[in-house]
Amino acid sequence: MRFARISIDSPGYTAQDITSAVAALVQEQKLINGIVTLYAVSPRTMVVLTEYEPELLKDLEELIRSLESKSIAVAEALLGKETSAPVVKGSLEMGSFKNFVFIDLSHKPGEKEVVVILEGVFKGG
Amino acid sequence: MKVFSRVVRLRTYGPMRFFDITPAAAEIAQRCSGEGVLRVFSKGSTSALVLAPPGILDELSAVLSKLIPVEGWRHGNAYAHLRSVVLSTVRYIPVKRGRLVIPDGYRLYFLETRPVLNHWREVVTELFCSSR
Repeated sequence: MRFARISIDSPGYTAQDITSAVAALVQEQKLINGIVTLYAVSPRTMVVLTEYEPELLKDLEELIRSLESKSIAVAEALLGKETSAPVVKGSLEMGSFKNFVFIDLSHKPGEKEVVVILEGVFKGG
Repeated sequence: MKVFSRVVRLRTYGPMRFFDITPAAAEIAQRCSGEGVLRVFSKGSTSALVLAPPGILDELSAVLSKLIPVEGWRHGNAYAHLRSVVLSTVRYIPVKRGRLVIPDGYRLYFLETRPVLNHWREVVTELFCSSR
């Protein structure tokens, strides 16, 4: 099992595709078969799996706003702070139209952190 | 720790139909005679995986329809993506002595959210097992 981190320079209210950063970590660490698990450490941030498409992101924002009107914690609880995906033969196996999307609802700009846990069979043991 | 991976293919129809994939998951779990975890991942971005007793599925559908209605979004099938995001496409199930550790009466379902017919879907499973 290996740990890595992704730093995201966030304006405080955003949704960003971080799939390529995760794919780079998988390559760098030489994970052949296994899983990557992502956890959004910073408060009021989360990671979800969805299609990264501008209109869909606006729809997601609308859903989040309706949940936020109850409380941000409700949005955080429903969307989840962690997610994961399989790695098969050295690549992320998520299917088409699926991306890791980092969401920040904190309204606090700054560097935010996502922890990536890689588990499975690594090249060279 | 041993890792065993298998892709389960299933043919679905929808909208909002639940397909019981517990038998496939249970068969894979049999490969672990010790303790481990089975990770189940649905590849599509409009599907979902649900661990629940069969009796609540209608109610779950009703709650989802209220929270995320079919119409009123920008993206064509946004409701399907958003329901998928809220429910999640990833599940972890503990495995002990070749069996899934889930509550009695609970089943693992693949949810087809979209109005499709004869739709092939793929679920990637990974079994992480410590031999005893």
